[in-house]
Amino acid sequence: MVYLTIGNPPKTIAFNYPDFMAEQIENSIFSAIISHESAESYIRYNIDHSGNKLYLQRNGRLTHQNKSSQKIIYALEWQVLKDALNSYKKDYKFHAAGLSHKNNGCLFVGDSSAGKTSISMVLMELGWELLSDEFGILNPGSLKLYPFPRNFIIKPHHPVDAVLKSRFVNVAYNTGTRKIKIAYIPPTVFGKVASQPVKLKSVYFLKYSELSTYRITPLGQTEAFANLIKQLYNPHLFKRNSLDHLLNLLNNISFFQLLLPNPFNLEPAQQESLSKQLISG
Amino acid sequence: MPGIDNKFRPIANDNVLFKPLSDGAILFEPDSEVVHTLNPSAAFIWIHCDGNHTISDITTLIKNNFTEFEMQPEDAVNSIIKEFRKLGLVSSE
Repeated sequence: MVYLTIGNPPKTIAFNYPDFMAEQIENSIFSAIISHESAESYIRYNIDHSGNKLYLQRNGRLTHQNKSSQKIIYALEWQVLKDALNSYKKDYKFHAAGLSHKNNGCLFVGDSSAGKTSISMVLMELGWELLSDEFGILNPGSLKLYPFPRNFIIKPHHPVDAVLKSRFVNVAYNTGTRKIKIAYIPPTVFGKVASQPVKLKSVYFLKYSELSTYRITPLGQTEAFANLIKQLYNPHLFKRNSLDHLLNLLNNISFFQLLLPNPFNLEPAQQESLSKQLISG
Repeated sequence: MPGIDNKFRPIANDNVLFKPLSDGAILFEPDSEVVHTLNPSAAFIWIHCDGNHTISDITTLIKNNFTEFEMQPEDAVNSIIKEFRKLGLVSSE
């Protein structure tokens, strides 16, 4: 049995599975945050093995059955992801990476392929802690960022070291038009993951750059607001009474545009300098 | 929709919430939950859509309060007010 604690307020999800699936569970996308320490759980997943099939149940209700353990793990990961996102109902969920340095949180907001995962890996190697590389979960009242550090999901074109990629679980993934192999890399390979919420200090809007160095430029509130709402997963939170929360966010946080080439190609001194500037932002 | 001339006095729709920012503003339509962002000149124009100012008055105020224009001030004011009208954000008496 393993446990995963997420949400605001925190709640625990428990997984029970046959012994032969232990390695797959431990290498699932939540590997960095699962724990063997027993805790009272509000959702309980159970995987049963009967005949040649596996049965996935959520709180006693059958949700999936399949012969392939990989497909059952995949279904479990999606369900847990949904549980996790539902457990932050009143919080904004941005398409963003969240990282912290000495309890100062930064969001790196951007489209797919803008560099969220890459900058997360590079900054973790420089001592930053990962909150999330995909879902930046922000409470608009307290301006706290919540950790949700699932594994990095690395597509074939991603610039991370190929040898590193090959060391981790490679899963077939259907993009809709073709099948690709994606690698799940635990964030702990690069550094620490955050376990507690941190106060947001700065927001960086990532934009891929062909240049050989990065550039950071301050953004005005109007542009920052327009960019933020484009990357919000749950825009239905925009209600009359939440506008004040947004203004609180705009008035208390610094916003920047970060033009970023592939951060793995930056010289170590440039990476250090980038890290320092991001901290001071 | 009839055209507008310099004597047109736009009035901001009461339902629309206006939230000023340091470099512009946000307009929020509670019924549809649609948000618009305004640059400083558009925000300035919005504030003067009070039924007391004609387009001509607003153009004069814009000329007195802003120094840099991407287009002729008359054209800018006309274009923004037309856009507000198209979106149902302002009407006339």
